[in-house]
Amino acid sequence: MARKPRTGPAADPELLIMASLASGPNHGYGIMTDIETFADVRLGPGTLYTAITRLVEKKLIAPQSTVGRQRPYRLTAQGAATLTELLKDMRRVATVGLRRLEPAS
Amino acid sequence: MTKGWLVALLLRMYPTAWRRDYGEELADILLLCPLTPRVIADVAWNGCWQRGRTAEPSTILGVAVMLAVVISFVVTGGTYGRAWVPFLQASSRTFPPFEVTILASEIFAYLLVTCGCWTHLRHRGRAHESGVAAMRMSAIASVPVMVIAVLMMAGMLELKFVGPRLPPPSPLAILLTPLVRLPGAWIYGALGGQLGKWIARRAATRSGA
Repeated sequence: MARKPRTGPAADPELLIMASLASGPNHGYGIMTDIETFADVRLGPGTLYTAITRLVEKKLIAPQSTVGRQRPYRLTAQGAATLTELLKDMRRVATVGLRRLEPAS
Repeated sequence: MTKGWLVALLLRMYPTAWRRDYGEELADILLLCPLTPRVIADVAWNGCWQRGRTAEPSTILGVAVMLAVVISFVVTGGTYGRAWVPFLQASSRTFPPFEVTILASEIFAYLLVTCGCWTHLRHRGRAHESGVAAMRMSAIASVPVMVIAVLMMAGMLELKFVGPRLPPPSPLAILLTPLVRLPGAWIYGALGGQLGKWIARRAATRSGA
């Protein structure tokens, strides 16, 4: 059965790609399968490469030398800082939201 | 064989410069994945998006005006005859016919100025480059008019004109008019370039202050 596409900040392609590259350099197909494993989000190849293009232009990720036909990408220092900031913001909102959802004891 | 052909076709939807940088990688992924309708739609949509993102202002505005011209032909369908009658004839669901002076309205002149201004703001070029961009926009927008003129010359389409202009222009005049208007488009584009220059200077002054 086809999965319902997930939406929201945790399904943002750029964030997911940066989170995937936080563990080390990877190529397009590797990033796509990794995201599917850790976030349960299946990015289309077009969406993946549009997001990669934007991230490269913003200098948040950088291409490395080609291995065969595959070109790995790595998270830049600026990308790591941006990702940290984004994830901290998300954690803060998630913590407050979850705390407020808990029944008052 | 069919998959390779489809992948090549999908990649053609992306701009050449983009294909040079990412084409091989995307092709590899597409050959590995099953090409479901969802994947095809995703790649096609993103290809169009990349084209739109990297397109020159003259192309974007030219195509927009071209579509407006085509739609205006369809909307004012009651005034067009013979061969296309079933498609173009006025009905209770179309707007009543109104007079459209194609590529000569003030809106078109403003769009030529906008094209020149936008081109300058993107490339910071000279007035001549803005003028050439406006000429390009005008040429793209003229395509449906010229196609209609050719169809009229070939006897495949009969155009009936509304409004006070009599006698109606000949198909050759309709074909040549967009070309004759190109120098005018250059002037509007160059003016737009000057406007862009002024805007850029003003923005630089503000950011410096």
